Amino acid sequence: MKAKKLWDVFVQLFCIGLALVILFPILYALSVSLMDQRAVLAKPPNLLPPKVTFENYRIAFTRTTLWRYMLNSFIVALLCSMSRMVIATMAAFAFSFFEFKGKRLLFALTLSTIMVPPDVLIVSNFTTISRLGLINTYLGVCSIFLVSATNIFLLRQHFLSFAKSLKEAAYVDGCRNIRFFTAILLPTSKPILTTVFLSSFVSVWNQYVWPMLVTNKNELRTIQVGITMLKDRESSIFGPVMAGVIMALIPTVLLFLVFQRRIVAGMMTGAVKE
Amino acid sequence: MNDRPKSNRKLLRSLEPYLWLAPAMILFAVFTFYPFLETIYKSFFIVDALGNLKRFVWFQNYTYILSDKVFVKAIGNTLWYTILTVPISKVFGMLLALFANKRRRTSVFYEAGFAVPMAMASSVTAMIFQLLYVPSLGFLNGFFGWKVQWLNNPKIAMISIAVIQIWLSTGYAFIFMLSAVRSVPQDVIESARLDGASEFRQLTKIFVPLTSPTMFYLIITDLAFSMMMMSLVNVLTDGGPQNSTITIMQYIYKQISATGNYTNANPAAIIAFILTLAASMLGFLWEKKGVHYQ
Repeated sequence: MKAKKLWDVFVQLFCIGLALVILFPILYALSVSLMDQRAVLAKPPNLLPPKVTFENYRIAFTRTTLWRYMLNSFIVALLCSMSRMVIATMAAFAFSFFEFKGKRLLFALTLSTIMVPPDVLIVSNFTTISRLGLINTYLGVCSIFLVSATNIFLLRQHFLSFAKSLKEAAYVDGCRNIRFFTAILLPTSKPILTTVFLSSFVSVWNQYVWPMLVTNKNELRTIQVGITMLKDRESSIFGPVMAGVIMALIPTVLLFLVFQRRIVAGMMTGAVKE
Repeated sequence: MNDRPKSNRKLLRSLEPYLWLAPAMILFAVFTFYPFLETIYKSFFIVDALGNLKRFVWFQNYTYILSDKVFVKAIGNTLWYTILTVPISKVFGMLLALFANKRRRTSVFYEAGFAVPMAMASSVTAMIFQLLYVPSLGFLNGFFGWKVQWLNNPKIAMISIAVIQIWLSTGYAFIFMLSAVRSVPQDVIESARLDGASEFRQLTKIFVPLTSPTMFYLIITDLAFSMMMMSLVNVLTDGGPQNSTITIMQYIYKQISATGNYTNANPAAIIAFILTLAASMLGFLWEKKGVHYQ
C-alpha cells in the first residue's frame, strides 16, 4: 500500500515536471518580457529576470500600435464568432426540424466544405475580396471565417436529440417557427452555443495567413500579424516583442484554461465515428 | 379570391427551410464552392496580375510549375515536414495521455499544462522559438553551449521548424488521446492484468487498438493541416536558407504577393489539394487495416 502511494506521488511529480518542460517556451517568454535590456542580452542567458521590470510592456504599448492590433483582433474574433454562432444555429435548425427537397444534398454539400482546406482557396478568395474593394476592411478579414460547417454539424447533432414532439407540442399551442426558435430552442441550447462561441473565438483570434493577406495598412492588422512586424532580426528588442507576444497569447490561453471542457467538447465532435 | 392568401402562406411555408439555410449556403457558395471551381478552371489559363483570363493552355501551367525547381523543392519540403511532424506529435500525445490516464490529486494542473499549447497561435509561437533559436544569444545555444545555426543551416532549418509544430500539436493530440485512453473499459484492463499481461503487452494489445479510431481521426486531420503549412515558415525563414524551408503554400503566397503571378498560383493550389487528398486516401487505406472499431 505504502509503495503504491509513493509511486503515485512520484508519477505526479514527474507529470508536473513534464508539464513545466512543455510550458517552458511560454514561461521563458514571460520571463524575458519582464527583463531589462541588459538582462536579455546577458551571456549565459538568464532564466529568470534578475530584476522584474514592466518597462517592456510600456514600450510595447506606447511605441507600437499594440493596442490597435489587439482591438482589431478582438473585433474580428467577436464578429466571426457571433456570425458563426447565429448562422450555424439557423442552418442546423433547418436541417433538424424541417423536411424539404434537397435536404440531403445540401447537408452533404455542407459537410464537403470540411474536406477542402481553406488555404487552397486563398488565391481565388483574395481576388474576390479585392474585387469587392474589401482589402483593409474588417469585413474583408472576417469574410472567410463567417461560417463553419463543423459548427453546423455540432448543433445539428444537438438539435436532433431534441424530441420532434417538443416542436409539435409547441405548434399545437400555436407557437410559430420563429417563436419556437427564439423562445424554446435557443434558451435550452445555451451550453452548446457557448461551446461554439468560445472555440470559434480562439480559432479566429489565432488566424494568421488570411488576415495578413488582406491587410497591408498597419492600423488594420490583427495582433497575430502585427506581432511578427514588431520583430527585428536584432535580438536587442526582444524584450518589448516578448511583451507583445504575452499580450497576444493571454486572451486565448486564459479562455482555454477557464473553459477547457467546453472548448474541447466543441472540437471533439466528428472525432468519434458513429 | 379567398384562395390567394392561403396559397401564399403555403408557398412561404415550403420556402421557409431554405430561408433558414440561406446565409450559410450563400457564404459557402461565395467563399468555398465558387473559389474551388474557379481555381480549377483558371489553372488551365494564363492569367494576368488582376486575375483576368488571357489564354487557354490546357495542362501547360501544370507542366510549367512541375518543372520549376523551387516548386518541386516546395513539394519535397512539405512532405518532409509532414513526415517529421504528424507521427511524432501523435506518439507524444499518446504517451502523455498514458501518463495522465489515472486521475490523481494534481491531474487538473498537469493536464492543463500538457494541453495549453493547443490554444497558441502559430505566429506567436514562432516568435518565441525565434528567441530560443537565436544563434549567438538565444537560450538553446547559450544555455547548453551549443553552436547550432537552427534556422540558418539549410540542413536543419526544416527540422527546427518541425520541432515548433510538434510542440504546437502535441497538446491537441494529448487532449483527444486522453479521452480515448480513459474510455478503454476498466474490466478489459483488469482481466489482462489478472492474466499476467505486462504493461507493454497491455499497451500494444489493448490501448493501441482500442484508441485507434481517435488516432486515425487525429492523423487524417493533421495530414491535411500539415500539407498546408506556411505560417511558421513565413514568420521565421521566408522559405530560406536556399529554399530549404519553402512549402507549397509559401510558394503560392510568394507567387501572388510578390509578383502577382496567378498563372502559377492556381495550378499550385490544385496540386496542393490533390496531394492532401492523396495523403487522406492513404490514411483511409490504413484505416481499413489497422483501425479497430468496437
